[in-house]
Amino acid sequence: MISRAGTTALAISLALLAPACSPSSSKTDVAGTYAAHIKGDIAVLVLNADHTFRQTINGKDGKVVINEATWNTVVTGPDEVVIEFSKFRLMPAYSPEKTDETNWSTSVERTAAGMLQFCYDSDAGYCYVRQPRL
Amino acid sequence: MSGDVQQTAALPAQAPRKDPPRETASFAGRRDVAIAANTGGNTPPASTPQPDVKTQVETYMRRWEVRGGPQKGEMIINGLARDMERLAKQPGGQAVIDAIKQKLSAKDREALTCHLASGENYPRSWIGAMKNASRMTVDWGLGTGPDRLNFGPRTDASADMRNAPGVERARNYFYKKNAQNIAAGKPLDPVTNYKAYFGLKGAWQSGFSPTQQFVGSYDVNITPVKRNGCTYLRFELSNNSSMRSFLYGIGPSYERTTAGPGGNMRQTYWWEESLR
Repeated sequence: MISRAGTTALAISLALLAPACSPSSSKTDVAGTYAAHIKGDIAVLVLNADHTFRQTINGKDGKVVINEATWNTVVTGPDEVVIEFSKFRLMPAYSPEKTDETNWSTSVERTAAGMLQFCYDSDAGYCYVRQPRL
Repeated sequence: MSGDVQQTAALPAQAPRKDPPRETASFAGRRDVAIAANTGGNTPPASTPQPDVKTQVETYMRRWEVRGGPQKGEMIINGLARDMERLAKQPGGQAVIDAIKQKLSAKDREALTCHLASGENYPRSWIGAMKNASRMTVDWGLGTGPDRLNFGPRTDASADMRNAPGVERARNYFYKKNAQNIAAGKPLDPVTNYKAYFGLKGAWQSGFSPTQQFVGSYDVNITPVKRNGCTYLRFELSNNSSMRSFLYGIGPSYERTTAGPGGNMRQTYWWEESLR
C-alpha cells in the first residue's frame, strides 16, 4: 500500500511531467497535419509553416479531391487563437450540395486528450484534429 | 413569446428597428439604483424618500468610478447606460440623466449616447429565454411552427446569446483584427463566417443559458454599421437545428418538406452594439 506521502509525491511528479508529455504545445503553433472524418469520408489537411495548406479528401466512393489555398491565425487572447482559411473544400458526406467554402474562420480548441483541433461544425462532429508527429 | 418571433424568408439585413417592447418590464417600479451604495444592489424600502438630483448624480459617478477596473472606461459607459435606462422610467429621472451627462467628457457623452441608442442594454430574462427555448425544442421535435425564426435585438433569445462564449470569441477576434483600423480611424473589416465551437466545453461554459444550450454551434457575422454619427457592430448569428446536429453528425439532415418532426429549423439572432 502506498503511503499518503508517497501518493502526494506521485501526484506532484505526474503533474510536473504532464506538460512534457502533452501531445500539443501552444495554440499559436498550429502548423502540422490534421485529419477529419464524417460518414466514411476522410480528409487530411496539412498546414504548412509558410501559411499554405494542402487538403486531400478521400470520399467513401473512392473519389479523391485535392485543394490548396492559404491559412492564417490571429491571436485573440492568452491561449486563444483564431484560424482563417481563404478557400476550403467541404467533405461530400457533410455537404453534398455545397462543396466549397470561402473565407471562414474559427477558434482553435483542444480535444479532451489535449490535441489541437478546429471545427467547421462541432455539432456534427466535423472537426480537424491534429495528428501526432511521427 | 410568440410576439418575439417573426417568420422571415431572408436574413434581416434591412429589418425595421421597431421591435415591440417585451411584455415583462424587469425594472419597472424599482428605485434601487438611485439610492444604492457604491457597492450597489441594496434596494431601499418603497417609502424611502428620493434623494435630490445632486446626491443621485454624485452616487452614480462615484459608483462607476469605484467599479472601474481594467476596462474602466467601458465599464463606466455600460454601467451608466444601464442606470439611465432605469432612471428614464422613474419620475424626475430625466433631470438626473441630464445632470450626469453634463459631468461627462464630450467623448464619454458621445459614447454613452451611441450606447443608449443601440438598445444593447435590453435586459436578459432567463424565464423568457427558457420559455422560448422550450417552445423551439417542441416545435423542432414535432415539426410545428415556422421553419425560419428571426430574433431581433429586443428579444430574450438574442439577449441570451449576446455573451455566449462563441460570441465573445468572435467579438475578440473582430477587435483584434481591427485594432489598427480603429486606432487609425480607418474603415473596419467585417467578420464573416466565423464558426462558433460548442462541444462539451461549450455545453459546460453555456451553463444554464437555455438559448445557448438549444443552439449549440452556430455561425457569426459581425458587420460595422454607421448611423447618426455612431459606429455600431451588427451581430448576426445563424443556426440550423437539424437531426444531424442533434445526433452529433450520425443522423441525416432534412428539410421539413421531407419530414416534419426533426426537420431543419433555421434561426437568426441579431442585435447591434456600439463600437467600444
